[in-house]
Amino acid sequence: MKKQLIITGHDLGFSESVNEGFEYIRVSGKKVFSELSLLPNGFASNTAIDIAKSFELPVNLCFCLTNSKFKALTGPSSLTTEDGYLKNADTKNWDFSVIDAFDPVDIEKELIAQYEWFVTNMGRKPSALVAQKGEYGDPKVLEPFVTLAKKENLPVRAPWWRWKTNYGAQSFVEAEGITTTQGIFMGIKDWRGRLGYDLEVDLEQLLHDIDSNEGVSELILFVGFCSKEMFAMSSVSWQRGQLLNIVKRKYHIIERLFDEFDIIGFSGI
Amino acid sequence: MKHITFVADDFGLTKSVNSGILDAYKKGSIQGIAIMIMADETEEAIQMIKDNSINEVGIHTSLFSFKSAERKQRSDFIEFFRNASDEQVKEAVYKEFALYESLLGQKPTFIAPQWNMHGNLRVLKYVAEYAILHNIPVRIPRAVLVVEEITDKNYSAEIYLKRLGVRMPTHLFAHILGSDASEIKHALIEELSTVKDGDSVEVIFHPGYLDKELLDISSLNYERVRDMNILFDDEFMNNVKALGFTFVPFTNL
Repeated sequence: MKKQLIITGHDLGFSESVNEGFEYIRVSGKKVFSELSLLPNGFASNTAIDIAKSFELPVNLCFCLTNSKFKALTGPSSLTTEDGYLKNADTKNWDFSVIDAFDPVDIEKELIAQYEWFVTNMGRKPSALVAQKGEYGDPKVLEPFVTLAKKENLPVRAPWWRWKTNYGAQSFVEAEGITTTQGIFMGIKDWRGRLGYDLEVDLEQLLHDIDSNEGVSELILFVGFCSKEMFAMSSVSWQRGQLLNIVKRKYHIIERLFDEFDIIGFSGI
Repeated sequence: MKHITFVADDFGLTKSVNSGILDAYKKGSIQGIAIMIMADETEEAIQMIKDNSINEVGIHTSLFSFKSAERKQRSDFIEFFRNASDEQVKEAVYKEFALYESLLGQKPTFIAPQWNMHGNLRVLKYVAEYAILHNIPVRIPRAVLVVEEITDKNYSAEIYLKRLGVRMPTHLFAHILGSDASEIKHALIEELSTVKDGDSVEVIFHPGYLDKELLDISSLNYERVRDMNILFDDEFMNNVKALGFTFVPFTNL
């Protein structure tokens, strides 16, 4: 029996360049993702909605609480600077100490606001709850996150930390009876600690590691074009383009994923 | 003293490539730009050269039109070099140089052929002739027409140029393919660490932004943004300087 794998397109709504990358894949007609991950407060979240709907795929809600390029939907609070921009969790050093100063009430309000944005604009519930930087690996965020997941009866991505196992949070989620994945794999290698996989170079290792992992795994893929503005915005730039080139010229790599695993969405867990 | 020049190839290929190259040049990370004189966005590239008073502009020769609708593949060139007469090869080489001169109003400041095609001795003969006549330095010839990466040496072509006294850098480095910018930076620093005092180095980059047009027409696409990352990495640039290198235009190598 094949292992189950979710393939998620990450950061939809981050910017127009990223959105265009998703649209390029959609128009290609090629199977790449089994889930899309939609940011509620990205630079191009509003224009991403139509793309998300056009895909005819499940769309999960990608909470974003610690990206200083984006604003909180609830306005200035303990989560933000004075002008409403979220305080930054530094993925260069994996320093998430900004969360220390977060007021739990503000966290909960922002999560709810982002959830309501999704439901209002997509016209339906998300397929699952996830987060852009995995912030709910921190117990301060985990608690309201889990409360929302339980209330809305939604599955969640495994609460890892720095893309590694986070036993305390994982066991909490499972003990709360929430459906969750057990493994997470990043389809990007040259970024912040090299914890991921280059699909072209590391495919066999990736297939092996997913297959060896207990339970349901999720492979997070980054996609997008890269305009001058995008280059300035994100430390993940050319890596998003690599997936586009794979889809256009080396699609057999994606086909291997579909051949080796039972590709599902979060609802299939 | 060790001189080094970072060169951006493919100026004129697409708007997104032009924009990336110009930004890298303005940052000071690129000391030479190699322009394709028969590409889709050559006109825009030439305007950028004029608007920004860019002097160090080499020619990225392609012999024939490199516009996306007309572009030849590497195999076409191999076939051409096999079958064409000397006159035909000479005509193609000189026609392109003449076009550069008429469009830019100057001679190229260096010669850096697309796919290192001057690694083929038939075309090298005329490239060398032009280079000697006008005292123009030339990129070290390799064999990219037949191999993917630029690392394989091409002894016969190199020694041919050396004996004629054509100016060339001592070393040529390039990492064209692959998604791992960190590995490439590390590899380049390792390679540059082996360069002796008095030697000179050319490093080839392909900076550019990525849009749909580029993705569709070129198999070298996201790697250009990877090169932007490298060229905009101040730590990497400082590491190069810390090895005792001085950045200079190609002409001054």
